[in-house]
Amino acid sequence: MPTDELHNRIKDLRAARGLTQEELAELVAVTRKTVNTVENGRFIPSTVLALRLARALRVRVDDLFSLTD
Amino acid sequence: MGMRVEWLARQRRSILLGSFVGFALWQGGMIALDVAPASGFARTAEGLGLVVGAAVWLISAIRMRLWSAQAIGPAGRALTDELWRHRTLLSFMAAFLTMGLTEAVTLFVAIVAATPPAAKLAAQTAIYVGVLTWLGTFLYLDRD
Repeated sequence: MPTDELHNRIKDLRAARGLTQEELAELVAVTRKTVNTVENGRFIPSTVLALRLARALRVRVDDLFSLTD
Repeated sequence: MGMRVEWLARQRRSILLGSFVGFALWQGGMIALDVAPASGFARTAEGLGLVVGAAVWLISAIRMRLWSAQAIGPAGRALTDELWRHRTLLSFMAAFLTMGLTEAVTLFVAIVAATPPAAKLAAQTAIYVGVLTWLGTFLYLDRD
């Protein structure tokens, strides 16, 4: 379910918090693969997962995801 | 927990790969014996493939049982996250599509040849194709 319309800043924000994909995956109760595919824009997460990612990275969902113009 | 989840995810992939190979050889051998009963070396190869395939399938089934006992609680929930559910759904869709196509081809061949369809073989082949498509699609999607 990839899309060019949705942009995310997970990689930058995760790196800023010093987290690996595996550590972030553990915080949001998914596998590293799921974090990787979301991060690379190959999988669009559900609203629940988007909210959990935002909470784990201590940002708002719209700081994490945005629509490309 | 993270390392354990990743280890279990790798184990699951390895088990599914074993299931794919085992089922392909085992049931493929069964179908080959039904469709084209060979003699000599070909028959030995078919029989050997069938036995080896059945053994690999059985080992994979036992490994899956043991794996399931470990994939519980938070680790189990992470292993069946939404990406897994999405890929499982896509794999089922592909499997049902190929099963339907197999049945359609079988019916078409029977109509063209004006012979009654071989019901047992048609069902066996459709299940064979369906299971392999499910496993194959999941393994392909899960390759990253």
